[in-house]
Amino acid sequence: MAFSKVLVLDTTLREGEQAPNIVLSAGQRIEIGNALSEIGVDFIEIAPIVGEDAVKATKELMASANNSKTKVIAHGRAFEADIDILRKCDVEWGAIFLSTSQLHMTNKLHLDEAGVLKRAEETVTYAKQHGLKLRFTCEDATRTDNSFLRKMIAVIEGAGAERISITDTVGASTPEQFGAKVKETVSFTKKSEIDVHCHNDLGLALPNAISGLQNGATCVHVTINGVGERSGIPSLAETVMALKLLYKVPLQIKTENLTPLSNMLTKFTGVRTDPFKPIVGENAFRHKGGTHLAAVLSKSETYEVFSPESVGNTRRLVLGEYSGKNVLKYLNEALGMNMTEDMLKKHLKKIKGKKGDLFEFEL
Amino acid sequence: MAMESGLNVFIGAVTEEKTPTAQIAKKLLAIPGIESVYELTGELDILIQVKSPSVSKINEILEAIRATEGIEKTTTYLVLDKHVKN
Repeated sequence: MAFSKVLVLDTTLREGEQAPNIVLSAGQRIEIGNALSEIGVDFIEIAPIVGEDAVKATKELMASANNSKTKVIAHGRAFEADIDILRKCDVEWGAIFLSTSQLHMTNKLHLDEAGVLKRAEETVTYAKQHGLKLRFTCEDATRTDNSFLRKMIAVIEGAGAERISITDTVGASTPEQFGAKVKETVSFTKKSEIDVHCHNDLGLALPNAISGLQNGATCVHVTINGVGERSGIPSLAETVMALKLLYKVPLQIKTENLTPLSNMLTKFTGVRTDPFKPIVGENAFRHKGGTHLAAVLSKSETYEVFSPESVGNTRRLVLGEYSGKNVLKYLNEALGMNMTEDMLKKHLKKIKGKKGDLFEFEL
Repeated sequence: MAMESGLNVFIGAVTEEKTPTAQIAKKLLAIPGIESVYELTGELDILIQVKSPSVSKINEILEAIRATEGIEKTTTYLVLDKHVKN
């Protein structure tokens, strides 16, 4: 299936900050925001409603985003008071959210369908009256009955919302189900465009988001390292690389900045990524198996689908009982150690006698 | 056993007799990446300890060592494992 267009929205400064231990100062938010702008995402989402620090960061990002294609989108609840805070930040784009599933309406909002539609219409109208471009998020959309979703979209589109976010709030969809949901939603719309916001509770956030894009959505929500509520959402790095490499979407993203950006978030928060994290993880280009190493040293593509340089990561080789022979031979030549075959055999025997990995190095 | 990060090598050097080894050692220490320099008796005159994350960086350092006035010949020894008293 074809993609119409793909915009990338990074919500590290909103969704990401809802994760445990992801706490950022105003200065760090600005640094991350500028780095996201530099890497080339289309939207940076931030939540000024959390406090004065966030308002300051939003205003500063707006000022620095003037010369960039990246737009800042300020996120709040579907309340006039929240919209007033977004307006205070001088943003062009605002985003408000309201639950649309029966479960959420009954247990969280304590409103019936008519009450939810009324609040949606009033808040969108209020935001539009005050000049904001607006995205309206239908929270828990995947567990929302399509007939109610159709009514909701008619109301918010009628009130002037430019974008509508379809969410898999608890990560409870398959890619097929989510794609069908997006396709149906697109059929309800007249002119607004669709965002996809998928949670990773069952590890399907990225396939779901891609399925949404293939079915007519035009903007995907991501965070650095995939941080977010519970198991998070798709990571910026995985989303960008999958879309570029496998689906040939011509995203204008500086992929060589992906690992430095991941490391920046780790440095600011102390929350380390899993070493097995694709693209940016410590193990993403770490080769250990003997036959793998020989092949990688001869032609890296044998065991790498893209180069570490292309994503700002580093290739590392591990010397240990599994990989002694090939690595030692390589180092002998690369460092000009002039070890004879007999010496190599002797040292290999020593290495094999040790359990585990001795050291790793970069080329 | 915890895996060490980076390469740890010793570079043994034979120096020319006319240049004092202390003078060579001082120049070597100014090369970024060189951890320590030992003056020795025996076949080698100087032993240089180098730690670096990458092979290419070690090669850069080796070239700088070989270009140092008074260095006649070098041999590289790779540290496979380290044993220290607790």
